[in-house]
Amino acid sequence: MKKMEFLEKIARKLLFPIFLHWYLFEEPKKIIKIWTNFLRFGMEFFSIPLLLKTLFSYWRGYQWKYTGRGLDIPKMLEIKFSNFISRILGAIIRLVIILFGFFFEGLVFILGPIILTFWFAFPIISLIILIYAFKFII
Amino acid sequence: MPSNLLFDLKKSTIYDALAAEKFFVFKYSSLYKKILSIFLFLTFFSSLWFYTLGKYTPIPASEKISSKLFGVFLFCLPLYFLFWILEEFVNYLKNPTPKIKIEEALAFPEKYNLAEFLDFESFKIINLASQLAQRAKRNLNSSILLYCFLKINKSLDSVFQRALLNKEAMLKILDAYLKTFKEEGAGFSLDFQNTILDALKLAKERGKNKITPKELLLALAKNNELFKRILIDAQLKIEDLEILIWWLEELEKEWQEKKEWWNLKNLRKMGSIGKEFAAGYTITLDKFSIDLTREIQKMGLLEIIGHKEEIQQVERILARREACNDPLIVGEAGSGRRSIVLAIARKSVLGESLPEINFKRIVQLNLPSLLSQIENIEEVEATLETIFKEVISAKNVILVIDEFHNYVGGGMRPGTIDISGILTPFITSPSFQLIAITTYEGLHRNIEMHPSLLNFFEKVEVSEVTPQETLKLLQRLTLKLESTYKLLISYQAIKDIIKYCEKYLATTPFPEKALDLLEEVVVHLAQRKEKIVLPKHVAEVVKQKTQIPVGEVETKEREILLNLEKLFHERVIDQEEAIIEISAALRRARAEVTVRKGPIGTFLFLGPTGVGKTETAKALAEIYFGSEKRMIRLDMSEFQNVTDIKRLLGSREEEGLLTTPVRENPFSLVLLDEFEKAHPQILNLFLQVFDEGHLTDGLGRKVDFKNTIIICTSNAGYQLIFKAARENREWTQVKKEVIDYLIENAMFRPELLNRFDAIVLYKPLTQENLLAISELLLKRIQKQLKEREIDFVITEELKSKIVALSYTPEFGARQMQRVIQDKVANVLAEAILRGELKRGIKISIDPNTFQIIKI
Repeated sequence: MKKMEFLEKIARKLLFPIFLHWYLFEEPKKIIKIWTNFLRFGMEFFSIPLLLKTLFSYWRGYQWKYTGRGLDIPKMLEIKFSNFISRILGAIIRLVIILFGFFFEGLVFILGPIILTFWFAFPIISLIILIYAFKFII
Repeated sequence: MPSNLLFDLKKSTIYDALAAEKFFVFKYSSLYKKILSIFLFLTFFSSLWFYTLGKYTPIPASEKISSKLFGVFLFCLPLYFLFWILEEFVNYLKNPTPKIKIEEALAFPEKYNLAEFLDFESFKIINLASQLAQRAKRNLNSSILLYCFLKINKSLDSVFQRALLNKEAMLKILDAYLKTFKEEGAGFSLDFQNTILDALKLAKERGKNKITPKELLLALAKNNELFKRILIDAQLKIEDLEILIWWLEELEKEWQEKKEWWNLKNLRKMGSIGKEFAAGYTITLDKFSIDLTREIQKMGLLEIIGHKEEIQQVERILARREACNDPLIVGEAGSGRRSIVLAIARKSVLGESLPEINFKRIVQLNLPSLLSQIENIEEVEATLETIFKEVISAKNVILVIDEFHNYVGGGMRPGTIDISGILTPFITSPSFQLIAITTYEGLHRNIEMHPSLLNFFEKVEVSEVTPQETLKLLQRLTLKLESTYKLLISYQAIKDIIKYCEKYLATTPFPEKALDLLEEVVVHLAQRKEKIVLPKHVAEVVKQKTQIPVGEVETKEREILLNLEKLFHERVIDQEEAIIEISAALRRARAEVTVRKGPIGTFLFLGPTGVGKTETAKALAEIYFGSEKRMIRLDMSEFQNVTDIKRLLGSREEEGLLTTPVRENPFSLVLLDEFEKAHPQILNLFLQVFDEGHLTDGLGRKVDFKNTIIICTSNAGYQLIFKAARENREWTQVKKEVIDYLIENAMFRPELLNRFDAIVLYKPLTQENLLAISELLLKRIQKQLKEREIDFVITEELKSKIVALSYTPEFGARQMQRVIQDKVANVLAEAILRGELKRGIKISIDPNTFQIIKI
């Protein structure tokens, strides 16, 4: 009897609209929040803005200065070349990290809508899975 | 208080959640989910196993079984998600957001249904209480509510356990009470209504929109008389319960935050891989340093408690784009100076600090390691130069030098080096960020010798962590120690640790002393294989550490205060008014009728020499502090020049004659003899001591006088006292005259005299007093001889003779001790050594010849 009362109560209070509100608005909001968290985290983890800003900086601060006396052009050119290499090396390595970062961001960017779609389409997807399941069982 | 509180459980939104929770689909959704997860695991792997078996063995049914199992797996998969969704939905139902604000509901409690503000757990408790009251046809009161709370709530069990409150015993008390209590009705009693309103107020104060069981319990502690009594019996106040509950809440919040791994804060804890590539290498620095950023990451980025202002100040200094961007953290060892740096490292990792600090490495230069590895000074200097260059070129390092004073201005000693010369060219660069840590002593002794270097620093003085913050630190350590040693640390014990540290261990600052003491107590208990840390265990360890009978002092104090006069008279003869006055002043001070900042008591004893002023002080030290040894005695006639302030307060060159003993033994009696003879500026120093209870010593350290009794003695105006005694005048009038005399002759300023708890006048001794004193002193010898089974008879003639020999009006009874020593003690000692006094003998002393008479 008590169970019936509760069933009645649930029906009376119309839990279903509350469920719909939660399913269609509240939880998707949470999923979007998590998604943006991951997007922001990706930017910070791979330090994309910082690496872009310092793309052509010397690799690990390695730079050479001309300390000799007079005008030793070969030596000066050698130093210029070394510093150029340091910058290029820095740019290559930073670029690799930036690319990894972009790849990660891209992945997260795609995954977010996929998960959201999966969430909304869950009733249909589960129906399809159940049909397949019966096929396998039978 | 409104009598018609609107409180309808059935009309509240949360009632749906209760209904839903009881419906079997929702009720067991979590269980179904768990069962299905096991099914999913089993069917998937067994299907895979059969599939592999079919591939490599000629078992015909394998593939079929595999396919069917996979079908079951697929069948379970959407069901698993379905129950997961249902479980999440029920959780959502349990947390509906109230449609109106708490403030509004509190303003009109008769208009809004307050049951809307209950969270699911509180709702269940009140619902049960309401059913119970209905069944018994009674008003719903706070006792029924408390009974139901204890019956069904489990989430606050840890609070009860730590507070040493026995839930079962409480239930029995309540059960018995409810059986006898008869109050017919069908509404809500006033205490119930107050409980709900108080709970709502508490929720509002904590920034919540719901009443949780935590607020409900606290409101019950405020409104239920039985609960109040139980708390008093457990030596707990409502504030203590509050601390325990908010402690639990913070822990729950922490766990919840950790559980939500997708939060940006948690994700940030993983650090970054790109930032390093924008910075330079620091090979030499890495060799001789400790990476504090990594250290705090290893600690799980624990939040640092306390020193909020100091942390902000250090951040502000570091963020400046000018040469003076180096903070110099000054504080006592153990005051949490390094934790300020760790807090900055934490904020930097999480990107919560200022842009100039965020995501930088905080690295502590390990100079002792460098000096032990490289012996050649020139090589050390070259290495340091490389390190400093690396710090600038790396662009992401904030350097930390601990115990900075050891490496500046101290000259060349083994194991140290003066780095000021190497440091100066670098410190001028804004891109060189350095945090130096030092002590007040180090600052005054060494760093101030280099004003040019000091100019580049800005001082950040570290204040002692407050007892409340220390309590939070102790709570954190408590959990660690409990899991290591498998025992329970009661809240009462934690509270006592803070109390005793504040009172008896004043030399070391908070929080270190409290944390050390907690560890010591736990180890002490682990050795004894006991399982619950109680206040008595804390008292035992403090007693071992300080030799102060802690615990006994606490319990005996009341007894001592009530019997002060009697205890004094065991040592001091007559001076009835003086003793009554001292006793009354001490009782006033200790009863804490008014808020006191100063010492336990401050007294000025006025009177001629040899009337018992010092003896009273000694007696007080013994009665109150347990031993005469707990007396710090200074002859103030030695401090007649203004330059003597240095000797009193200490300086770089010498320890303070007043400040050092008080710092080391803060639980003492300070006796300042001949107080009036000190230089007026020295007397002015005591204005602050009497008022605020502390003094700053010559090295800038705060010396606490709150646990001292200060007695100043003076014989100024003794002529007036003699005259009044001869004329047998009214004593209160004499006192007034003496005080006027002191002010008129500029011996003491009125503001100083006003700050004494009592000014006590000592009368000259009469013949009877002197006889009594001689008897008291002779009795001490009698007691000693009694231990050797020698019966020493004190005759009236002997007493009179001693008084006659020792008394002079100028020196009072001061000579008496010496006369007794010469004429009696020496004679007896010689006789004992010669073997003339055998056990069981009865003797006396001839008052004329001072020869031993055998009776």
